[in-house]
Amino acid sequence: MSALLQVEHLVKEFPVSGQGLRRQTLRAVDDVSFSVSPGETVAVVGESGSGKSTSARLAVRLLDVTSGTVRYAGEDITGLSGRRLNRFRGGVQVVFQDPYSSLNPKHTVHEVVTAPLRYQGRSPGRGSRALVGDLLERVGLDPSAMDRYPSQFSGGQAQRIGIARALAVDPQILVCDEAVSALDVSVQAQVLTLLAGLQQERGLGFLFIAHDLAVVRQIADTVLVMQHGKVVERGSRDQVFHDPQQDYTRTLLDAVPRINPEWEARRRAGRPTVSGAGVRREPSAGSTAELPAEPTERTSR
Amino acid sequence: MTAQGTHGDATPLLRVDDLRISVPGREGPLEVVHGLSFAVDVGRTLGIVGESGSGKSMTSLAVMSLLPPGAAASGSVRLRTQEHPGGEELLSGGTARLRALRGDRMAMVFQDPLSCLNPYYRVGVQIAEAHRAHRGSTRRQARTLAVDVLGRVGIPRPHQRVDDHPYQFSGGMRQRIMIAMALVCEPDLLIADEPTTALDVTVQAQILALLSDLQREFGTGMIYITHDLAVVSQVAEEILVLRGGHPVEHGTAEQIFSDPQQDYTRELLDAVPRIDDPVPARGGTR
Amino acid sequence: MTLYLLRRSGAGVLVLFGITLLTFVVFFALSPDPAVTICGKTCTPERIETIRGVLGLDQPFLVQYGDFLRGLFVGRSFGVGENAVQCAAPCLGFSFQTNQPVLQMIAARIPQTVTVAVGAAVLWLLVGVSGGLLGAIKRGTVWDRAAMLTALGGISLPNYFLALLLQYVLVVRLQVLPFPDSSIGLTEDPGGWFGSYLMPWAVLAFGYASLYLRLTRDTVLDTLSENYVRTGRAKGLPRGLLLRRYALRPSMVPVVTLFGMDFAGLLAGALITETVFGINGVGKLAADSITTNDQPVIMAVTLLAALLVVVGNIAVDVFYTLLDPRVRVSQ
Repeated sequence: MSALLQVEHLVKEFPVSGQGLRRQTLRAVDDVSFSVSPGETVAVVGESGSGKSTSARLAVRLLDVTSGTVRYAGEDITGLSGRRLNRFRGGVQVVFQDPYSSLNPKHTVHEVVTAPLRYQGRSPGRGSRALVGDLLERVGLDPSAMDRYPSQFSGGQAQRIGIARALAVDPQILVCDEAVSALDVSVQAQVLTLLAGLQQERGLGFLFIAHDLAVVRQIADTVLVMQHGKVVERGSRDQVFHDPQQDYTRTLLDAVPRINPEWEARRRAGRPTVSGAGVRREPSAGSTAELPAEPTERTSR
Repeated sequence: MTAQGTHGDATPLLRVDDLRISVPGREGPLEVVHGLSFAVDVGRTLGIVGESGSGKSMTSLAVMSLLPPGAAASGSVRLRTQEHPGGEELLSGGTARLRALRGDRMAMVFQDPLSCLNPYYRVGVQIAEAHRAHRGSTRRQARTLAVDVLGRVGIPRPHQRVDDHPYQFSGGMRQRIMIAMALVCEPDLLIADEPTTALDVTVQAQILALLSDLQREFGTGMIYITHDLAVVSQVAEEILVLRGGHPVEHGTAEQIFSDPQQDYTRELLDAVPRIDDPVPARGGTR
Repeated sequence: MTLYLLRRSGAGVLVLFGITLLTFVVFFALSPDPAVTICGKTCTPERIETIRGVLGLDQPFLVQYGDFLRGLFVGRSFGVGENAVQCAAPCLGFSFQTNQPVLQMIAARIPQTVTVAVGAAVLWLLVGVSGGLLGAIKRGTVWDRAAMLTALGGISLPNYFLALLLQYVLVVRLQVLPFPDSSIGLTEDPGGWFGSYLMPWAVLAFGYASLYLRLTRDTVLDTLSENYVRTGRAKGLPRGLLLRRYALRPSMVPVVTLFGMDFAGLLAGALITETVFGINGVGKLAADSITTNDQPVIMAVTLLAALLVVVGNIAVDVFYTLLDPRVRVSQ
């Protein structure tokens, strides 16, 4: 399938305060190119300062490029803004890292989920409650959640609300900017499963930004490794993880803490029904399943 | 089988029995930690693992007697000290005694080094503080010590950097400074509360290696608090799993990882994304 | 840093120009002919004309302003011929009221104003900052509430009211203090000197201390919730050290910033306080000159006040970089 979202030779420079007349710039993104096709997950990994988040923001036109092009469905949208980006905004949506700060705490969940539709002039009108109810169910929440406020939900539930919001406009591409990084590990697995399921159903393309290599390994088809604003390695998931070409990639992989494989093997051996690591079919009600959407006080760490 | 039996008859460095912590709630005190018991030995590491709301941070604050105002702890927390080789009860300790112990015999490293360092003072001063307060060293002596400790934790050019302020360091270096501050009086017990959560994975690996080296060198007993099961498997010999303030499972690392007894532990382990073993081939629409 | 100072000083000079121009315009447009006032009761039109000529009041506005500026930088002369009076730079003219050189008038009164300002400042810093610190540490207790209540009074009470009240109670009724006499030197009669300045200090300090108490308390409360305070406690540091390094020092930035501005302004003279207590300082001079429409003096005190504020502003900004290590980076 041909690429839906294409970025080529993206460059982003930020001015950095220098002494008086000497103006210095920081190249946060230095010649980055990639594309996302429907049904494909492109993961961009890197450490802090690698430019991965900035690249994602350039790709969704939340930031203006210093140079380079962004293309959506063949159309060059690099210089567009405002209303003319509407088609693009209807096709590409973002799920952010912290659901509490990316969802308006003064809006009910219903308002949160329907907001993108309203902003794009596609207000669902009288069918909005049904629409929101369906979306909430699809992301694993009870439809009664729509009359509550984001702060009344746990982190994982709030992130599901964020996903529902992103799905409201029926996009073709979802950009997940560290979308599971702030979640507990059991919740993380559930959200990843949800995302994988949505991708299967709707043929969504994902641009997945993360620093956690183990997470990326669960869902990526293509992996880009970034360092200091540049893409240092690019390949299919299996290539990058099992046969990394660059030293930096190898360093990153080596640094990931691992559970003793011997112990793992013994554990697996004792349980015949384990379906492998991480992502699996959505659980019905295991003891790590989140409480259904009853209002729970947001738990503090 | 729990690991508590392995501590035998010798007094452990830290022994916690039936620790309960309550915080002020809307309708009176709310219990958030429900009866924890564990022990830490010299030179060994206990990992306390839990997700958010598990009470792991509260537990560490209770041990250090740093609970926020309004919070109350009951039960027993006994630290083996020179004055009390049989264990000294910290929960009923006097303010002055606790202050003498904190920073000297027991120390803590926190999660976010940027906000946990005083931005207004040089790092050398902040490292030397505890030593000057507890050992009465002079400014010059303490400064020499600070330079030495900075070098030990891997800060390059410590003679110069000792006069820098926290903002002049990267995240990983700031965490090394926090570790330096904690270890300057060579405490018997070190509590590390998610020390690498905010750091890049390569930096995390360095900090974990540093902690392990220092522990070997000083023989410090450590409590390592984290939500990251992979990290704790590398760091701790003994693990306590918490959920919602309740102890779920307690055993050696090997026991927990190779033969978990509780459903919750099993599901936590299943949920951890792996970097090594086979994953399903990527399918889906293309 | 030098570049920064040059830039700020340049901007400051522009501000001063602007202020003097504005004051000149206001005086020019609004006040009655000073020549008439100077001339007095027994006046003839010729004398008025002469006075106007000497003072240059018959010149167009811009010429007058130009003469004023020239006088500031190089000196000027009033009148022509052998009766011309020289006035060396910086020439602030001669008082319409007393014909004294304005520069000398101000110079003679500066010591009193500085005494008032410094004494009040010391008092209000001590009381305000320590009160605020105490209130923050003992938050919610009776000490905190009492301090906040008193501070509320200090902020709400007009200082002339307090000044008159104090004077009435302490000097007239109870007679524990004499009427303030600012001509007493410190060396010749320390007791009398102290007694004279005590009330002006108290009045000024009460108002400012209240503000500083609230500011300090709020800032310290914010600081105490910072993570690094918890680190300090975890190190088992003694209470005094914790308070100094972890509570007070981080909270000083807004306090010092405000203090710089307040003190600079006070050096220009506390009009009301000086007037009520009869302290012969720059403030009283300013108040008197306004009532008598003494233009040269008004110009001079305005210029002085503006200069102090500009310098104070720059000093505070520079000091800020010394106070907060993080700010130095963006220099």
